[in-house]
This record gives sequence, structure tokens and C-alpha cells, in this order.
Amino acid sequence: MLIHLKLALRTLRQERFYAAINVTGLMIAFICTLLIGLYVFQSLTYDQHTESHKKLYRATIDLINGDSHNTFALMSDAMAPTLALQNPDIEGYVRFKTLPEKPIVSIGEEKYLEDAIFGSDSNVFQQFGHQSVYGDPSTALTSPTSIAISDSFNQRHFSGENSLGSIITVNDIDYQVTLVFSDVPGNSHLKYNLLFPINSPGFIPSPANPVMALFTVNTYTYFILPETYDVQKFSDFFDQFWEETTAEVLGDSGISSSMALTPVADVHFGPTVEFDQPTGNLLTVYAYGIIGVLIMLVAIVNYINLATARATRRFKEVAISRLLGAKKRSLIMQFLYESIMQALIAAILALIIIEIIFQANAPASLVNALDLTSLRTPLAITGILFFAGILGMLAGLYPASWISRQKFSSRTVTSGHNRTEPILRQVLIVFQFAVTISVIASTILVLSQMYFISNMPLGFETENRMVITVKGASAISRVPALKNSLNSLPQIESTTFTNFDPGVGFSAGNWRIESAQSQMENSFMSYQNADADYLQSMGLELIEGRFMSPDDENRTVVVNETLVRTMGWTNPIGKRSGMPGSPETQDSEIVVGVVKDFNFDSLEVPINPLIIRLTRPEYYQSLPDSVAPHQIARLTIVLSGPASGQLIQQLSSTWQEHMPELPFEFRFLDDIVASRYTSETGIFNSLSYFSGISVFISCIGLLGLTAYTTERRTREIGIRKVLGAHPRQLLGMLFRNIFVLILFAAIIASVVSYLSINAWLSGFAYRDEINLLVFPAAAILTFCLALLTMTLQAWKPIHRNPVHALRYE
Amino acid sequence: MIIRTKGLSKLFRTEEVETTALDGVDLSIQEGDFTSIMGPSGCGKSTLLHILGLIDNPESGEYWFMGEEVSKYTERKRAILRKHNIGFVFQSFNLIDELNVYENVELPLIYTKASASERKQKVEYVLEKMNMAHRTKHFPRQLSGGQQQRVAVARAIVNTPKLILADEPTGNLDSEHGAEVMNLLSGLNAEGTTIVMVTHSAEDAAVGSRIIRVLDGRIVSEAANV
Ligand SMILES: Nc1ncnc2c1ncn2[C@@H]1O[C@H](COP(=O)(O)OP(=O)(O)OP(=O)(O)O)[C@@H](O)[C@H]1O
Ligand SMILES: [Mg+2]
Repeated sequence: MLIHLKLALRTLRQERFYAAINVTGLMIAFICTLLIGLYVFQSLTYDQHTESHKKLYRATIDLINGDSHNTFALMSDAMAPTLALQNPDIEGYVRFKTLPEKPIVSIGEEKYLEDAIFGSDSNVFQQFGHQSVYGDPSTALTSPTSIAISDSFNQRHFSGENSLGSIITVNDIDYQVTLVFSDVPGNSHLKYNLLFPINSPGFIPSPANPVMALFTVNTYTYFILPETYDVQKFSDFFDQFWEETTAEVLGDSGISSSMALTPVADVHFGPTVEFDQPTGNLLTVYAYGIIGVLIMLVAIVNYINLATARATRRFKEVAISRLLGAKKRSLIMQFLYESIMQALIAAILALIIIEIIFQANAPASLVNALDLTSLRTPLAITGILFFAGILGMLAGLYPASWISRQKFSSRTVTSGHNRTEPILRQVLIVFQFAVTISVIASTILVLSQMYFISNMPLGFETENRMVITVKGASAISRVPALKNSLNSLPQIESTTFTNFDPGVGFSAGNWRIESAQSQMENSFMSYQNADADYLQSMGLELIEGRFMSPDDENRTVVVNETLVRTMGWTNPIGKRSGMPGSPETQDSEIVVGVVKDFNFDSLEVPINPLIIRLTRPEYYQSLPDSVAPHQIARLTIVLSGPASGQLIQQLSSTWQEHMPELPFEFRFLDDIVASRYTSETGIFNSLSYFSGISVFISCIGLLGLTAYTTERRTREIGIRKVLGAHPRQLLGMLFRNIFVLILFAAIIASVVSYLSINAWLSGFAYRDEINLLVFPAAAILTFCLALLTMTLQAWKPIHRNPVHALRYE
Repeated sequence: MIIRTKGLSKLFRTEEVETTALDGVDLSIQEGDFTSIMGPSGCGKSTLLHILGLIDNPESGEYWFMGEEVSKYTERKRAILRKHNIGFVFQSFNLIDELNVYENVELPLIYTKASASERKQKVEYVLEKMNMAHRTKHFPRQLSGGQQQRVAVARAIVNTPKLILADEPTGNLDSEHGAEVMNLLSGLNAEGTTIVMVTHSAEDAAVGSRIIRVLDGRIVSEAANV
């Protein structure tokens, strides 16, 4: 009785430790799995929040010119109404017309650049499933100067109050708020805060000629068609339409066009097209899904290993007190009951902690990427708890069935003999190690790929480069003076003036260019417009000729190596090029130099031919009044080091002197570049957290595993000690088994993670080499972890009086 | 004098209860003695044997083992003494389930770094003597209680220790096998091995040269067998 009591109490104390480990491990796993699950769920249900999404198709247009073929997400705003008149299948359409550049939005004193703004059709709220917070959606966009704002915009600028009737100024035109609509869900590919009518005065008028009007690209277009519509039928219809409509204008120019429809739910993971919103990468979603499942599996295996260890201990305790029969059954029940309880507690704690994380200071990348509302519904919570209960039961099943298989009379003859661990346990142990090793190895490889991509030499400098938008021809004409003032500041190395974001911004169009045979040819080309300081400010490398100079009389251009190669030029200097158009200027641009290739486009595509054309602020002076205010350019300031608050202050006041009508809003080039590679940059950062967590959970698992293994052999340790074993020999004995299992696990893990990482990497145009050393390194790390936890666990039985270990039954 | 204790005590403490397993045991054992310890169950016989065998330490009192005061020795120092001098037969055998009979018996020789041929010869010799030579490849679970006990005895004597501590070595044996074990022990004793044995059997106790009776953790009587 005394021994029994003593054992029971001792067990209880140790149970507390095990219970804490169990619940913590499960809880962390639940947190990760829920967040990852939420992310995967939201990714896979992009644009599916309305019933009507099945009838919604996004149109893209192809521009085909000879060999060049470009697909655009934007098309003419005139396209949808024109097509709707001719195709009875079209039940309706919703358009989102873009402004040529981020407009200046001012509310009262506040002034800033907004990019989530479109001109839209009045049925947008119904088709895209927006509820009204204030105002009537059906009449909201009737007046050309009305504007609808999102709930969160209303929260930010009108502190959530009823703002109907308030004035918002966009590019100097006043609009009146007529609607506050519920926010665009986070998993919508097109996001907007402000919508005004598509016929608002803020847009440049389209060409009057109805055919010419079709050639502009400015509008995202969504058609409402019957569910499961045959999109090929639509493409065929478009081909015919295009043929009939444009034959006269295009003649045999070789320019043609086609249109494709994508169900709106497929847009997010569809192919990237020009001018598209950021698209998702299914590979990333899968990577997350796998990590989520792995984390959960690791946690469950942890649980099973720990629970079995405890079962061994408690079973013997019961056996010692010789309370057989009923005790056994109740112990089994108790196990199931306990593991279900622990899983539920872990799940509840996980939900609470997720809520706290999001309420408190969550990393912005996490909050922006995930929308908790779908997790907060009673259905979701019930589902999660139910799921947790099932998991708990599954996890408790093994230890419970283990107990039921045990015979109490361990000292009497039992049939058969198991010299080693039962097979299932061996499998669990190998699985646990394999997961730990592959989690560590894959984490290193995934992070190294991300590091590789983010440190890919782009071919131009991105650090400490401040990019500011200059809007309107009159402001642009003041750039030279501004540049002078800025260049005289000590912390400023140089400044450069461009049309687009420096380095990464470019335009593409039909171009005239001199062939190797000195013939002028039409070709689809990418181009950047920049001033003479571009080379130095961007750190580009000139490999032939010279860069454009401010003293150049004509418009000079510099091309990249790829262009020289593509054109087959042997002597690029002096070649002619130009924009197709008026005969007197079209071939006037002369190549003066060649720059080394740099990645001006996404790293997912190979480098294309590029023309860098000289531009000067003065070019903007002679523009007609209709287009002058819409002109946009960039000024890039190269700083000698990281920007201090004081410097920004100084820059701001210099800016205000020259550009009083424009806000001083800047972005850093490295941020612009980073945001281009994937819409999930933030998520990628969190990948490293998750991997760290799964490694941590794996370590907890190792602790449990080694605890069990050592626990099982405590008595053996005692016996061997009495027989004269040295502590070193005992540790060696414990490790030998584990070593074999780890070796086995390492082989499995290496093969599996090599194959999966390799498959994942093949989705990247630029991929890091897989360093094979990662696998043995991960295995060694895992082995060391196992060694450490084992030594800690075995320390007591090895160094205490052997009698303690002997009594351990 | 191989063993001399003075006021040896052992207490087992749990949160609720304190058990005095040994209460001031004074005991002297000469080299070459064959001592039997008798007493009712729970009186502290095994506890005494554990302390004498250096696998547990006393609460208080003094213990000279081969002239060294060992009661305050660390486990490390005790281990060294144990390894070369003491063979232990446990009441519950304490064979290693994962090792077969041969391997179990071989273990002490491995830890004293005997050569392979020496090990083979010694193991085969004791197993022969214990009548277990035909079971060398069996695992403990495949043996009867008596067979396990004989393996445990074989393991204890294989290293020819100076002192053998045996906790009810005939407890599970029929009279024939019991007699064999006793013969073996008295044979070893005749060759000079000191033996301390716990037993409930008066007959077996009579084989020794001396009987000590224990009650509630105290030695109540000592009688020399003549
Ligand atoms: N680890 C322990 N914790 C608590 N009490 C213990 C412990 N070991 C032994 N005891 C107690 O000490 C006393 C002596 O135990 P011991 O095993 O020495 O008895 P014994 O004389 O060998 O009995 P038996 O003839 O049944 O083997 C008993 O009352 C026992 O309950
Ligand atoms: Mg006993």
C-alpha cells in the first residue's frame, strides 16, 4: 500500500510534466495547423464568396503582332458594352477602369496617393457581393461625381461614422460619398477601397472613333455568363467580332487579337498576364499545406509516444497493486478520455491564443494575409473542436490498445517473445525522426531558395533608393530645378528621372528597329524612358559605346545585351529605332551604347530585349492640355546610406519648395522590387516561423520519444549497473538503437524531401542548387538533439543508486 | 573481516509515511563465511542485502567493506568496488528480457573486460553447472521461474566474486534443483567465497555456517551452525 501510494504520488508529479508537454505540443500544433489551414482554405477559395461567382468570368485580351504575343488583363472600357450588344449569351458585365497612375486623393487637409481605386459599373456591389453599411447600392453610382467607399476606408478616414455626402477629392475633382460598402474579402484577386462611376470626369476621354476606342488598355472586364459556360465559344465569337470590326483599320498589318475567359475563381492561381493584379502561387499553398499536415502528424506521433510511455508506467503501477480486471478496462477508458480532453483543451487554448495574437501585436504580414472571420463562426469552432476530439481519440487509441494487449503476469511464461520494440512503435519512431529531419532539411532549403531569390543580383542597385512620383506635366517640368536642389544636399549621391519605377518599371509595345541587314522592322519591344543619370544612379554596367547624354541632340537610346543578341547585331552602335508613327520621327532614335542585362521583369521569366530611351522633363512641356495633367514620372533619389528622419524632413521641405501641390510620398526601391516577386512575400517570412515551430514541436517529440525509450530501459540500466557497467557504456547502449533508427529515418527523409523540394524548385525560373550536405547535417542535428534529451533523461537512473532503477517496474 | 556494520539504518520516506526498513543493524561477517538471513516478509532482509551489496546507501550508520568505510561513498566509487568483488542474485531475478540466457550470463564478464575465449569458457562452465546448458539460446520469458532463478545464480557467480549476495536463490525451485543451487553455493564457499543468503527455508539456512534472524529491521538473534 505504501509503495503503491508512493508510486501513485510520484507518478502524479511526473504526469503533470507529461500532461504539460502533451497539451503544449498539441496546442502549438493546433495554432499552426489552424493558421495554415485558414491560409490554405482562403487561398483555395479565392473569389468564391458570392453564390454568383460561378457566373462571373474575367476576360483577358491577347495582342498578337507577328511573332510577339502578349496577354493583357486590361482592355478597353468600350469592349464589354460593344461585345454585349452582339452576343446574347452575355447577361451583363462589370468593369473596373484604372486611372493611368495612382491618383492624389484628398480628404480635408489629408493628401495621399491611393491605388485601390477604380471606375466601375453600378451593378458591381450586387455582382461582387457587397453589403451596404451606409447608403443604397442600387443608386450609388448614378451621378458621375459620386463615390463609394469601403467600410475600412470609412473607418480610417471618417472614423466609421456615416460619411454619406462627404467630399473626397481625386485628382482635383470633387466626389460625393454615396455609399459605404462592406470590405472586399482578403481572398479576392481584385481589391478596391474607392469606386466611382466609369463615366466619371476623372478619366481621359476615350477616342471618339468606336474602333480606335477598342485599342486602349485600361479596364479589367468581367462578364456575367451562364454557369459552366463554354469559354471556347466566347473566344470564337470574339475572333469573328474582331475580324469584322477591325479588318478595315488593321488591314494586313499582321496585328490581331483574341480574347479568353477565366472563371473568376480561377484567376488568382491562373497564369500571370500583363497588368494583372498579383497572382498566387499554388506551389506555396501546397508547401504550406504539407507543412501544416506534417506539424499535426508530428504532434500526434509525439502524443502517442508520450502516452505510451505513461501507459507503461501506469500499467505496471496497477499491476503491482494487483488490482486486475476492471482496473485494466478503466485504465483504457481513462486513456481515451484523457487524450480527448487534452486535445480539446489544446484546441481551445489554440483558438484563444490565435485570437490574442490577432488582437495584440500580430505581425502585419499575418493579419493582412488571413481573415479570421471564417474561423469565428460557431460552425467552424464546433468543427474544430470535433476534429480535435477525433484526433485526441486517435492519438489515445494506440496506448489504450497497448494496455489491452498486456498480460499482468509478466514474470510467468508468456507465449512468444519480443526482443525489440513492436513494429508499429518502430515505425512511429522512424516516422518521428524522419519528419524532424525532413522538416529541418526542407526548411533550410526553402529558406535558402528564398534567400537566393531575394539576393539574386538583379543587375542594378536597389538599396537606399527613394522613388517619388511626380504627377502632371507642369510639375514634371520643374524636375530639373528640383534635381539641382537635391543634388546639392550632402547625403544625396545622385538623382534620376524616369517614366516608370526605375529598374523594374517598363512598358512594352510595337516598335520599329533596324535589323542586322539594315532594314527597319516592326517588333514588340520592352522599353524604359530615363534621363542621362540613369546608368550611374542605378549602378548599371555599360559594356559598349556610351550612355545617353543630356547634350544629345536627337533622342538617343541604349539597348541591353539580349536585344543585341536577338537582333543579331554585330555592331549595335548607330542602329536606328523608334516608335511607329509620324514618318519624320519614327526612325530617329539612335543606339549609342549597350548595357549588361539586368532583371527588369519578374525573376520568373527570362530577360527580354530592352530599349532604354533618353527622356527629358522638357519633353513634357509641349503636351496638349487634355493629357498634360495625367502625365506621370518618377524621380529616384540615391542616398548615401539609410534614410534618417532628419534627412527625410529635409527632403520633404525641399520637395515642398518645388512641388507645393504634390504630397511628398516616397517608396524605397528594394520594397518595390520585393513586392514584385510574389504576392506572398509576407507569407514567405512566416514560413520560416512555421518551420521553426515544427522543428520545435519535433524536439518536444524527441523528448517524449527518448523519455519513453529510456523509461522502458530504466530497469535494464539498473541491472547492468549492478553487473558493472560504466555510465559511458550505458549511454552508448541507449544511443546505439536510436542511431540505427535515425540512420534509417535520415535515408527516408533525405529522399522524400529531396524529391519534394526539387519539384517545388522547378516552379522557379531561377533556382538555387540543392546542397546535398543539408541532409546529413539535418540528420546529425537531429541525432544531437536525441542525444541531448536522452542524456538528460537517462542521467538519473545512470547516476543514482541502482536499487532505484531496479525497483522501477 | 569482509563486512562490518555499526548502527546501520534505512528509512523509506513518502509524503505520508515513513517506513523504518532497517533500524540499527550491527553485523560482522568474516571472509569465507556462509551466512543465512531469515525473517518474516517485509522485515528488511532485501534492504539489508542491497546495502551490503553497495547498490543502495544506508540512512545512517557505518559500513566497512573490505576495510573501507563505504557508507558515504558516491555511486561512482561504489560501482568500482561492486564490479570486482560482488555477485548479486536478486529475489526477482532481474534478467534482461532482451538478452538470451547466454548473453545474460556473459554480461558481468563483458564489463570486467574478460577476453572472448575466457568468457565463453566461463559462461559454458557455470551454465553446465546450473543445468542450463541446453537453454543458452532461450530468452528469460521463455523460461520457467526456476530456470530463470538458475540463470540469475549463474550470472552472479560467473565472475567468481569474493562476495555473493543471494536473495532467496531457491525461492522458486523444487527441492531437487534447490539442492543443486545449495550444493553449488557451498562448493563456492568451500573454495573461499563469502556468501550471504536470504532464505525462508530452514533447511537451506542450515547449509550455512551461521544464521541471522531479522525482525522489523533489527537483528534479533545470531546462531552459529556447528
Ligand atoms: N522503495 C521503497 N519505498 C518505500 N518502502 C519500501 C521500499 N522498499 C522497501 N520498502 C519497505 O521496507 C520494508 C522492508 O522491505 P524489504 O524489501 O527489505 O523486505 P524483505 O524482508 O525483503 O521482505 P520479503 O521477504 O517479502 O522479500 C518493507 O516494509 C517495505 O515495504
Ligand atoms: Mg525481500
